[in-house]
Amino acid sequence: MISLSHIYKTYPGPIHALSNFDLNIEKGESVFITGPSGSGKTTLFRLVSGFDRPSSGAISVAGFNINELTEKEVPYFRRNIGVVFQDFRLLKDRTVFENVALPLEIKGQKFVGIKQKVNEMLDIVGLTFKREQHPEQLSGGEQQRVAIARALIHQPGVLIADEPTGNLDEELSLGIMELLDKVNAQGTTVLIATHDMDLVKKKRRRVIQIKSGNIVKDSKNEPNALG
Amino acid sequence: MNQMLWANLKRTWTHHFGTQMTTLIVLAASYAIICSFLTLGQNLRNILSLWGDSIQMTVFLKEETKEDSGNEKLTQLKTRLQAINGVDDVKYVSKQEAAEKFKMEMSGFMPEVFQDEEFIAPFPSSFIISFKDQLKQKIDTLRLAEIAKQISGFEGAEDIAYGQDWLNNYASFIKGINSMGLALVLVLLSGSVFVVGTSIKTSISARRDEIEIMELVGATSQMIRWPLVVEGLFLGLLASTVAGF
Repeated sequence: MISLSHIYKTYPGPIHALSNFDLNIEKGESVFITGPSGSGKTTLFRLVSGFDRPSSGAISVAGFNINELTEKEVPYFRRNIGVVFQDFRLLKDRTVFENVALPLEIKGQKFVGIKQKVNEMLDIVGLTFKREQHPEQLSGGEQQRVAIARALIHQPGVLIADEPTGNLDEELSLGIMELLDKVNAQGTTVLIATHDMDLVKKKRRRVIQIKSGNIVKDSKNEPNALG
Repeated sequence: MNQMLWANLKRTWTHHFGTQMTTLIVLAASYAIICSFLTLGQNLRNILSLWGDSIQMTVFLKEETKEDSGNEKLTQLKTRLQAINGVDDVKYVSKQEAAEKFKMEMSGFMPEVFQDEEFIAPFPSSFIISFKDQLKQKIDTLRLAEIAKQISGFEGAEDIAYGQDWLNNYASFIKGINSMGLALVLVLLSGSVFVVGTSIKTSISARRDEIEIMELVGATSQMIRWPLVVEGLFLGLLASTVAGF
């Protein structure tokens, strides 16, 4: 589902954010990417979500060859993935319902269909009664649920979450992780970047540790791994 | 798409009313200032072109060219005058007509002079030449001088008058007004372009997050651009309506 082969990403400086990076994530897997700040997690996420291109190497996500995507094709690629950020990235002037409905609206779906799907999704994330509220009226955990609902409403094959619990306390973090588990159980490939090692330890998942732009540990390759 | 555009417009005005109103006021004020200057300039030009319309040339005739010395010479001169490039009409004013006109204009000032039968004598007969619009509008003093020189060579023409000095002053006055108006409009225009540019920049940077989020969920650049263009058009239209009042 996600495949990176001999990826190099160098920023002006030069800063070698990723060097000879190889990664293969199968359909339906749920994977944690961990590592300290500056290890290359964010670069990896920018590449996988099509916000950036590698300096060299090949990336394929959800059947799209990222290297060959033209500017015009990027939006259509994004409609096949779901992205969640630490800072939620919700539109403040829209209600919870409107925020979640946005990807479907962009796809040009009819309002009746959108309404039904959004209501179902809000039910899944437990925000049915907050549908008419604006993001500012919600707690951090609730805002992240809205962001996850928006990332999943168009049923993407891949959900990419960059520090989804970074701004949340432990209890809320666990709630979000449970929600992501539920999403994964339904067949969505989930890729989560986090530096919260406690959270990682609580979950029996494949864990990839990166440092200075390289994979230093992949639990898949360890005989006693849980992943 | 249309539905999205309208919904967006409505949302912008509901949630960013303050910013929209500020931009509207700034735009309307710039439009109003530009429009008033343009109107002022146009009115001034109209008045000045009325003056320009009165540009004509009088060709005073030698004694022997007068009507009583036979029509042939007179007709010949008239034909030659009419043939000059830029001449619209040539009108003959006889000695008597000139005196009548003078009497009519001056009788209020010195009635006793007009009791005198001999008084007709000082006025020569003349041709009054009016010019084509193109020449009048351009106030082409060089061409007028050229025409005057040409006519002075014609047989039968004694003297030529077309208010040379006044015309030269008038032409440089018009030239001054025109270049001043142009400079003013340029300053105002660049000012308003700056104001509009700044307000667009502010509006876009205020909505950078929104644009990023739209990109994130797969909006094409057209989907992002059109709502902003529609908002801008709507603001511009509204501002020009307000400025009109």
